[in-house]
Amino acid sequence: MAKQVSMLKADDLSKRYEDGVLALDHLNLGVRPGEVYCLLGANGAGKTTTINLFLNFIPPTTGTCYIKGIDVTKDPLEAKKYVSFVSENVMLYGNFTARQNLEFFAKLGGKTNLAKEQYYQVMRRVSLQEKAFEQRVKTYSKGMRQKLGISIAIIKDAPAVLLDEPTAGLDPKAAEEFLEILGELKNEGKAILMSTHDIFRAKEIGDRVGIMKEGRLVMERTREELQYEDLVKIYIDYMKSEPLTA
Amino acid sequence: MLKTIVRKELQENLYSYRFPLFALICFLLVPLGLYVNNLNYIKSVRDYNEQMRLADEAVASIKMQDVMAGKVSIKGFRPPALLSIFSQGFESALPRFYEFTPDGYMPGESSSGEASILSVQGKIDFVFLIQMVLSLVGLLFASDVIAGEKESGTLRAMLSNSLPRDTILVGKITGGYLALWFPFLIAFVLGVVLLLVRAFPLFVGDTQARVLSVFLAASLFMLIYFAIGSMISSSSSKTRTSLIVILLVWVSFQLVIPRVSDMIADIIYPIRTETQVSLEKSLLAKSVDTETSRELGRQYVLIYGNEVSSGRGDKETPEDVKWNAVKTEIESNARERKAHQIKQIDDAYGQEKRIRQNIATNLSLLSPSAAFARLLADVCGTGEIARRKYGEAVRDHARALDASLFSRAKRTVIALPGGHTSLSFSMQPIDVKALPKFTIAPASLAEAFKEDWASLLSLAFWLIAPFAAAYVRFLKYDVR
Amino acid sequence: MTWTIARKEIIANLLSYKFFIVILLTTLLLFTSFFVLYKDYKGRLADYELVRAKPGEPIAVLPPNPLSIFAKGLDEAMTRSFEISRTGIDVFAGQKSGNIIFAFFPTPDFVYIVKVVLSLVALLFGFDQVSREKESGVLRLMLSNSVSRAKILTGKWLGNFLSLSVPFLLMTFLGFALINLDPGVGFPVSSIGRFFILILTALVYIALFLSLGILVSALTRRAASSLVILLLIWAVTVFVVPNLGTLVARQIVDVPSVKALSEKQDQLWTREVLQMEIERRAKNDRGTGDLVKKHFETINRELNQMEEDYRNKFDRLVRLSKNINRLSPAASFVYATTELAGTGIGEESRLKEDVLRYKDSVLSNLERGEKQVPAFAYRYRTVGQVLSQGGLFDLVWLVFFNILFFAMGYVAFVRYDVR
Repeated sequence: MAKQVSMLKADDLSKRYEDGVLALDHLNLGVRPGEVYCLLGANGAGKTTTINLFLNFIPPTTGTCYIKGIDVTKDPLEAKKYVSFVSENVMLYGNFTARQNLEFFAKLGGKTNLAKEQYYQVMRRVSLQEKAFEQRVKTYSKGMRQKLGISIAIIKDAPAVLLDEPTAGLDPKAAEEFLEILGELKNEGKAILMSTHDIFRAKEIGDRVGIMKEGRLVMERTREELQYEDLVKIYIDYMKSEPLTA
Repeated sequence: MLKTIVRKELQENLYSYRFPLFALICFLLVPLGLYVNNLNYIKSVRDYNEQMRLADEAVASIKMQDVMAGKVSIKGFRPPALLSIFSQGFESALPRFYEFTPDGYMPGESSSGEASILSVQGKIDFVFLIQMVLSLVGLLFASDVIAGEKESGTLRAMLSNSLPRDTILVGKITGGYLALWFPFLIAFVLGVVLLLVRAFPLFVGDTQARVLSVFLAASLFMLIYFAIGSMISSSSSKTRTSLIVILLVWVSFQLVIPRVSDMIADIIYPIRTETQVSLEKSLLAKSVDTETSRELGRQYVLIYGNEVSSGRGDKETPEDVKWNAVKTEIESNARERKAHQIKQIDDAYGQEKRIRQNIATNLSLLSPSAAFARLLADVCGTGEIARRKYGEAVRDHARALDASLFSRAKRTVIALPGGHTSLSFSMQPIDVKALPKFTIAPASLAEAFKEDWASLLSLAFWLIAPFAAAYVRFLKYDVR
Repeated sequence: MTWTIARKEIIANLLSYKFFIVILLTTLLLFTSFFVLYKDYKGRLADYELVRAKPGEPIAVLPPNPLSIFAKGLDEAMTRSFEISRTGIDVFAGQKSGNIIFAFFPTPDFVYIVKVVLSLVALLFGFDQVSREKESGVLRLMLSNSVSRAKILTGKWLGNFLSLSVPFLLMTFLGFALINLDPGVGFPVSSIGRFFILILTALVYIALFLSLGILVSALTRRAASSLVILLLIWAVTVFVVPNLGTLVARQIVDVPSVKALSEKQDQLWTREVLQMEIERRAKNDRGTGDLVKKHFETINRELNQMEEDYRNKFDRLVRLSKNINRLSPAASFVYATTELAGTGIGEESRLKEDVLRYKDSVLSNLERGEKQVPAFAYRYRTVGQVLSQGGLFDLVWLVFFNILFFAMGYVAFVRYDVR
């Protein structure tokens, strides 16, 4: 396979917060088109910080994030055209229906002038119940909300997708359905970066898996490599070992 | 993109409980307040006309003897201000009339005298509603403009798109404000319609312009408070926090700053009361009178010798002629002197009042609420300008009445050396029908704006500064 | 257990910055009010010395009421000077210190501050009592222990009430004491008792709003929504309803205008004078003295009748408007406190009656040819009289609101979904 340029790239990324905490320590990371990269780690390991840096929600202390080769801090508006975001707990406008939320965010994502049927199609694709399309989102269960979140990402049709613990709190069936959709997006050639706690699913869906500990990417394995190693054991060993900063 | 955000904002407000709640309050309070104040106004106009009629009758039946005996007093009434329907201002605190006597003038009771029983609870006029209720609502609805979206995570969702932050801010503030403004507009129009039903002279003179100014000022005022609320919202991460700060800000602006500024003005620059000043003036008048009668006495003796003649024949002696000339001169000098000195007291007191007023006003303008209330009162003719013009009219009228009535039929007391007093009568024809009418020169709308430039400045500041602050804060806002 | 919870509330309040800002603001407002109204009182007292009736002058004028520093009420109207003359009573503006005239924003008195600001503050303390703790999950933790919901609610109420009332009482008493230091302010001994009852009323009023805040908190899931709802209730209760009654009553009870009254008076004069002329002609100008006297008596009697009718109508208007206004506890509060202070509607109308009686005695003295002009003396009602003439009703009404809101809050909390 020819070496493709990374769609999402973190280059020597570090972040130290005002209170002195070093949340990221020289992170180097790249996600190629058609690749799913799963970021594993304990709470506070730096997964969410990484995603926040990619979205320019906070500025890096050193290093750079690139989306499609564009420096996110230098030209955020341009960079954000090429990324979709699904948060851990998708909270939308509760008084709006699913379709209204979808419509609003589609417009923000640059997709104006879509017909209602097109919205419905996307929602069907994520297996959202038909009758829920025009129901207010505040009545939705978590699973339904996450599905709506991914449909927003689908409709934007950006080449990169960032997900922050998208299956946390979902029942097994809903999580399975969610990951199926993710698989489809990967096959469409999107670059997907997903942070998660779920070791098992990470193994299933991830083309590459990275483990973060105290702000550092301490291990990275491809799917092939993981065929021969027990990810669960590796992960737990890392978690149990001595802290990196003495 | 901006339009999308504005539309979303409008829709969101419409679907929430806020919009119908706010619309309800608006539709209830605004037209009701206007309608009721209109009824009060109509009643006071009726009372005013009646009292004018009675006063005119009294004037028509003035007899010379009464004037000479000093028993005549004339009342000058202040017509109720049409636009007090919108802003009460000083309307009920000002005396309904002034009573003019040979010794000076005295304020009559204010209209709050009778109606006060019913006003122990306080009054609501349109300005009060805007100031107290709609400002609070504006602040509240703005409270989760930013903080709310952060709390619900939708802010992050928005910002993960190619959307500049200022577009978001402007869109949210515009949409949120419009959701408030439209019901207010409808309620206002409804109120004006109710007024027109009761023969409100909207199309007479500059009333239209003034009513429009009132509406624009109120809209601006709501925008200011919405901007302030947005600024607070973009400075905090939780709606709860911003709500509490908003309430404290509101209390400070509405209640603390305006009152404290009056108190500070009073401490820095205490002045005498009106009662004290009018006492001073009447004491002065009496002393001038006493002096005059002594002077007259001296001249009398010089001309007539020491005999006190009580009855004179029909023939005018040369002494008589001389005496009349001297008497007229002394009396007119005395009158001038008295008028001059009283004017001095008036001017000095007026100066005192103005200075103190300026201090209080300028301090209070820290609060946009105070600036708004003062500006609107002047636009409606019930504010500071109206009060000043009333005072000027009263003083002018006193002078005019003195010249055309009181000094024409005078009973002068002559204090003869030796302790006797004698009376001298001077009579000049009085044309009762030609007595000057009490009029107050109205202030034009342009005058009101010119004088209240400081209020306009304060309002402009409070519009621009919060927006700028909100902008700056939001640009750095932590959306995580 | 209740006290443990109450203690927790007090400490939590003391540790929060919101508490201190609120206390600061309230202190500022209260002391501003005390100071300004105290100075105003001194000014009006000085004015009174200038306009008071000198012996022999038929003038009825009251000195300013020292308790008006706290409850302005109708004191300004009551301290006008009423001059008795043959033609009736001339009312003059009386004492006005420079302060009151020039204040575009009239200084709020203690009653106003409690009515508007302290009610808001109480709401601020109550609104998130339940919803905040639910949102943070603390409520579930508390309820996983063996403690009844009733105790939790009572503890919260008690803790917050103490947090509110102790600083409030301190500031108020301090203000009162400071003012008392001035020998020029004559607080009669009886006014100390009145002041205490006034403070008590204020406490009941504040407690009522605290209960209301907690009630709404227990009815909503989000703290933010409870605040918005409460603020709207507050605005309507404190500003709108107390005026509503007056507006409605005005439409129902028709009080004749000045024009209608003067027309009636004109008609009366015309009628009697004509009659007198006719009778005089019939009698050939003899015995006119008695005739004149008879007709003047008729005129006087009917004039008095007209005045009494007017007053009765007005009283009905006032009563009706009071009763409608009382739908709002804020209105009840104002009525109760102003009556206690002696600046209320009841006191004012009693004063008016006394002035009328004075006028009658002055005029009848004049008739009899007596040189002596009686002096006007007015005695304020006692506390007992105030209470029996409606004051007690307002107090009880406020307590009723308290009980109602607390009970409703209890029911709501018991059914509250803590998940």
